[in-house]
Amino acid sequence: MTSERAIELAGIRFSYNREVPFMKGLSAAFSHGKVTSIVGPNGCGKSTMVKLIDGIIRPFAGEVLIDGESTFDMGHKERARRVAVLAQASRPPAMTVEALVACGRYPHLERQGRLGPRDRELVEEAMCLAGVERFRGHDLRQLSGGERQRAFIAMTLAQDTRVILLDEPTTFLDIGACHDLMRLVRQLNEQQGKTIIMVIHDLDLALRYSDELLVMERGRVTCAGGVEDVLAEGALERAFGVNVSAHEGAFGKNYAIFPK
Amino acid sequence: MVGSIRNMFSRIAQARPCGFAAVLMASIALLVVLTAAAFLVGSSSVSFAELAAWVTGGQVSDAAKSILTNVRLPRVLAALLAGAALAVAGAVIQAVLDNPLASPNVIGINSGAGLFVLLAAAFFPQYLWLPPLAAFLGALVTALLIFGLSLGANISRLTVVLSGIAITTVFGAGMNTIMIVAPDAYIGSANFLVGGLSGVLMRDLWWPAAYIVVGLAVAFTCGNRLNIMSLGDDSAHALGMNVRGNRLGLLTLAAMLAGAAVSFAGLLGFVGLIIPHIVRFFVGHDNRRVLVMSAVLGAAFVVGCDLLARIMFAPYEVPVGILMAFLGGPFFVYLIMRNRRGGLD
Repeated sequence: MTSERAIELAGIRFSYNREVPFMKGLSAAFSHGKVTSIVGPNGCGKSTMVKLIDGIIRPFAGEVLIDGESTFDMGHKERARRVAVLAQASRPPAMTVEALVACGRYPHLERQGRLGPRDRELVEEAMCLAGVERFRGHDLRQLSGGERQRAFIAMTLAQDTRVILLDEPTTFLDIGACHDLMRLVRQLNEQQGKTIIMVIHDLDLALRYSDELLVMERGRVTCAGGVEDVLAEGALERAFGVNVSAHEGAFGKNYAIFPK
Repeated sequence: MVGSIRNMFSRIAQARPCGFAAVLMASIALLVVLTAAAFLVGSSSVSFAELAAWVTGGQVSDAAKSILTNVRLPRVLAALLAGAALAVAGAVIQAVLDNPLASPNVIGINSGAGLFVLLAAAFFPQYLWLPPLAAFLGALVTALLIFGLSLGANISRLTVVLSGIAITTVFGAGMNTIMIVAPDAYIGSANFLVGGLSGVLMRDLWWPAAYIVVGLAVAFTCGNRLNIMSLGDDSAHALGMNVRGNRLGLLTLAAMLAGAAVSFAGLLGFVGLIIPHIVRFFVGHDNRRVLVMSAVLGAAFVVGCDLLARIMFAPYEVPVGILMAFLGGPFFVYLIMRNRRGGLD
């Protein structure tokens, strides 16, 4: 039986500095089949949550469950076969798009990392889904920010997981590329059934493209649920100290955000 | 002037779609030619017919046979082994530390190995198997020092290099001390500090050769891991790699290779720095290719340099390490200049 919860964090206690507790019993859950955005002011623990799920850091107490199983009992590769994490953008590696996407097969391969026919198929499929197949031979460093980010998304798709976690995927992208990437996220959710969790700074993008929001403040979750419910609760207003109002505009719902 | 040279190089680089197989074959051909030349040329020359007969097991004069077996063979073998081992160690270290300036000599691994070899030779000269093992330990200790250092937050690439210089200075002082206190410690010790192959005997080669063959075989299977590592620590971890464990394992491997080479060739510098860069220039950054090519070109480079060192000032002979330092020093400066804006800090 697979649990409805894709990922669950329960009673997490963690701190970077032992004298100052940061997370004192954080709990959060992400449902399968949804696009969920983690939002919150700087330093609220968004990226720490990603690192906890990804196993880069271990909590002092508490559990991280993927499909109901504790990640502490899983090997690194086993975890990577269940959750694909796109880390924050760093210096692009010197490799072609195709080589990068093939890296996504790593958790499924034996130690030498030779691709089988099925692996090649999945790499091909991932490139097509992310729309980067025409750049396959290009060096990543020659691509625009948006194209490069799509190539990285293709890598996470080649990982063939049910859950994809994106850590600030739109940083450094221009507004057009941001929307482009978010449309890709929706498409992957709706057509491929991917569960997508993303940490995102841009509230407008989060509100517009997510099914659910998870609001964090100072190492704890203050509100979680459907976008409209979270808005109605006023959790975003409290977390960021802004007023958010929704308007029906010519192109659908708009969100106006003003300082209080 | 510099601009036009750069243009020329970028034109060569753009005309690069010569396949990997072609580049590899050309390098192997170069290696074979240089190796044959290294057998033929020397203070007393041997004819090609004699070499061919010797290789195929035919009739050879005693004089030629003695030269080939006792003089040339150990020397050429030493050059091949040292070149392949140091170049591959360099490629691994550059990838693992994500630092184009790193190499066994730059980060102090060679000097760590050298110090331990001299210690072994000074205190336990009777054990022939000891120097390679000691070299490995010395290299490993240094590699772990650098590894520990690179764990610290925000350590820049340049800091790693500077630490290597500090380590080299201290270990160098240690080596000089041993040479003064125990002058019999190492035969041909004058060559040892700069790296030379003139005094190498077959019996010095067996143990290091075993280490190097095993080390190279293991290294050739690690290309994909190095590729994954080049995505950055967080991404490699997200793909299910135990990054710290792999980094430690690969540095140990590099230490084994470099240490084995140092145990008989001395502190041969800069092969490990230069060759991976040249290789990447020709075959790109895929580490599976870089490792294999580094082995071939590294071997060819040291055999070629050793050949030059023997004939340039004949009848005098320069230790090959000196020649390589002349080439390597400027190349190092070039790398620093090129990386100045590329984020050394």
